[in-house]
Amino acid sequence: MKKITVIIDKGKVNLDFHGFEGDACSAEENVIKVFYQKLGVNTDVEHSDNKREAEAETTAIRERIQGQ
Amino acid sequence: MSKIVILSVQLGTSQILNNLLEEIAGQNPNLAEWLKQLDPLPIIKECVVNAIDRLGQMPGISKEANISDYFGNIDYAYNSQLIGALKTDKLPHGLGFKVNDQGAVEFVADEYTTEWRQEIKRLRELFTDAFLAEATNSILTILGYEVVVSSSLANNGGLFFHLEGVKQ
Repeated sequence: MKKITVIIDKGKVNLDFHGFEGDACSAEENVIKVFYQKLGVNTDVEHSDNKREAEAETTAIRERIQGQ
Repeated sequence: MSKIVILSVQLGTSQILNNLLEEIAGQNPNLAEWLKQLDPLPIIKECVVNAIDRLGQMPGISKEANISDYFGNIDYAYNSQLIGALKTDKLPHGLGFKVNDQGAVEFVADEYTTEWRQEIKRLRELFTDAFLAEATNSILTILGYEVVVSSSLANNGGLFFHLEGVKQ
C-alpha cells in the first residue's frame, strides 16, 4: 500500500511518502511536482528528509513546497 | 470600481517543468506526454470554486457571487468575470476571485481602508492554503489515490489542512 500524507499550513505543502520502494518514490514525487507546476504552484523544495530510505525498503521523503 | 490584483499564482518556469518531464519520460513516456498535453485551466478553475466553497463554510465568512466598490455599487460587467467572492464583516464589499487565460488566479477587491486591506490579506492567505489543499486533492485523485481531506482552525485563525492519499 502506498500512502502520501500532506500537511498544508501557511502557504506551504509538506509531503510524506510511505510504502514506496526504490525509485518509485522519486518518480511519484516528480509527477506530483509537474502537476503542481501545471496548476501554477511553485515547487521549490525547502527541506527533504529521506534518511529512512537507508533503514527500510520503503522510501520516505518529506519536503515542503512553497505555495503560490 | 477600483481594483487591485493581490496575488497571481506563480507559474512554474518551463525549464524546470521540462526537466521534470524528461525524468518522468525516462520511466513512463506515456504519462510524461499526457502531463505535457494536460490543459490545467479546468482543474485550476475547479480548485478555485472548491476553495471558495470551503472557505464560505467557515464561521464569519460568506460565499458571494459579486463584489462591490467603495460606494457599494456592483459593476456587473466586471463581476461576470469572477468565479466567486468572499465577504466578511470586516470586508463587506468582498474579495473576488478570477482565473486569467494563463491560469493565474487573480484576487480583486476595493482596498480603500486599512481594515479592508488587512482583511484582504487574511482572506488571501486562507485562500492560498485552501487552493493548495484542493490542488493536492485533485492531483492525488487523478493519480489514483483515495484521498481524505480534513481541515481545522489554528489558534491564530488560520487554516490547517491534512490530506491522506492511499493507493493499493
